Amino acid sequence: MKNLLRRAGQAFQGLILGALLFGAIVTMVQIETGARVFRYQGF
Amino acid sequence: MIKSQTADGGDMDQLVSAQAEIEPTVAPTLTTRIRAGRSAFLDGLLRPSLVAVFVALALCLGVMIAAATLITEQAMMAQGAALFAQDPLDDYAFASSEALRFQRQPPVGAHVALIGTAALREGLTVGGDIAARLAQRLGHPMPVVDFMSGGQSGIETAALAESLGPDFRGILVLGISLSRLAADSSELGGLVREPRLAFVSAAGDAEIRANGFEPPHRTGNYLIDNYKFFVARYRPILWHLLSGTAPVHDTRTYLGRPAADTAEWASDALILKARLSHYQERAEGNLGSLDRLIRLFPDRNKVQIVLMEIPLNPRAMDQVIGRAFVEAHRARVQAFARREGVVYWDLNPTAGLLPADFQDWAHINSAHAQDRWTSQMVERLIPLIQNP
Repeated sequence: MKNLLRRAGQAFQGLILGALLFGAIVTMVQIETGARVFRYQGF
Repeated sequence: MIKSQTADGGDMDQLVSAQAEIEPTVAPTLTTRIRAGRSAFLDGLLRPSLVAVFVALALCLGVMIAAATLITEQAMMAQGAALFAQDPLDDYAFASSEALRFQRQPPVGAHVALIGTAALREGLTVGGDIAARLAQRLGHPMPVVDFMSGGQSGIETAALAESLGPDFRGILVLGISLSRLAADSSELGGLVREPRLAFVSAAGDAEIRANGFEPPHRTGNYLIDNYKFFVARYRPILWHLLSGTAPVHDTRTYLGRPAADTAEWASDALILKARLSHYQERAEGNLGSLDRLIRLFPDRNKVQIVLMEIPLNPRAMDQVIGRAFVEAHRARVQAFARREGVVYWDLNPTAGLLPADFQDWAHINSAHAQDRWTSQMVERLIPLIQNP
């Protein structure tokens, strides 16, 4: 039981790290390539 | 002394003392177990571990594989493609879906296609209303394609027009303006770096080259060729996927918007004047872009092309641009249209729009003005459809 909870904690840590890693990679690509939603109204 | 007894006749004091002996041993056991469990979970959560690294990499890789598998042309042209839009104002996401649908299934029968900037769009009622007005007058359905979008460039106009396909039949209405003819082609560099459309178009790429830029390398893989579109929108896309909500396209955004105040008007006037100061040197180059577009539809028996002037605030004409300038522009476009064998319409002299009908120099913000402008266009479309 204790071991299972430890594993759950590790998996939860992995999910948080994974989400952060994914966000960091995409944000880096976004900054590096200049990908953004271009807003241009009017003229 | 009265001794309390239990229901089965046992001694209550004995029972209470027995409970007292049991409770201190049971309660700490449960608490200890919970504490130990929590501590094990926190231990796993807070200490670096290979399991966490593995889960993180697997999650990251999984999301990327899911994106590569799910973000396809088919997904972008599906009904749920609105999930990929940034918000209700993301004209180019919605236009991309519509264009991809036409590439897959070209429009059958005669259509009226409207392509141009927000100023043209805000002057007209929604596509469904125009189609209904046309159908009522013609006695048969006449679908309308609405490819009008905020700040549309020549690259996007070409790409959207090309998506109608080589077999397109009907009327192609292209928005034109003083501002468009004075546009600086170097501004298009931003759109090459940050494309707003989520599809690749040969005509769009040709337009990029004609303006002195090199289109990005095309691989034939949908996600790789359009990754910037999706990367730029990844946060709203994830949110739409998680929340199950998708934006609904807001196609007319100026209606009811208060007119520009003195400061805004002055700022717009400065920008417009600065841009128009280059009109003479840039007009022919920008007409060249229109020429390339017109050549995409060479058969006038199949496609009638109308160059339609955007609404122009009379106040801007009198105070910022000047009547002589506007007249010279009209003459230039009229001559160009004659050379190209297309039609030029300027509804401004007949629509009777007032400064109060505008939010700024070109965007109509009143429903009655929009209705009048639309009626005028429909009146002119009818004979063109009936006698091509």
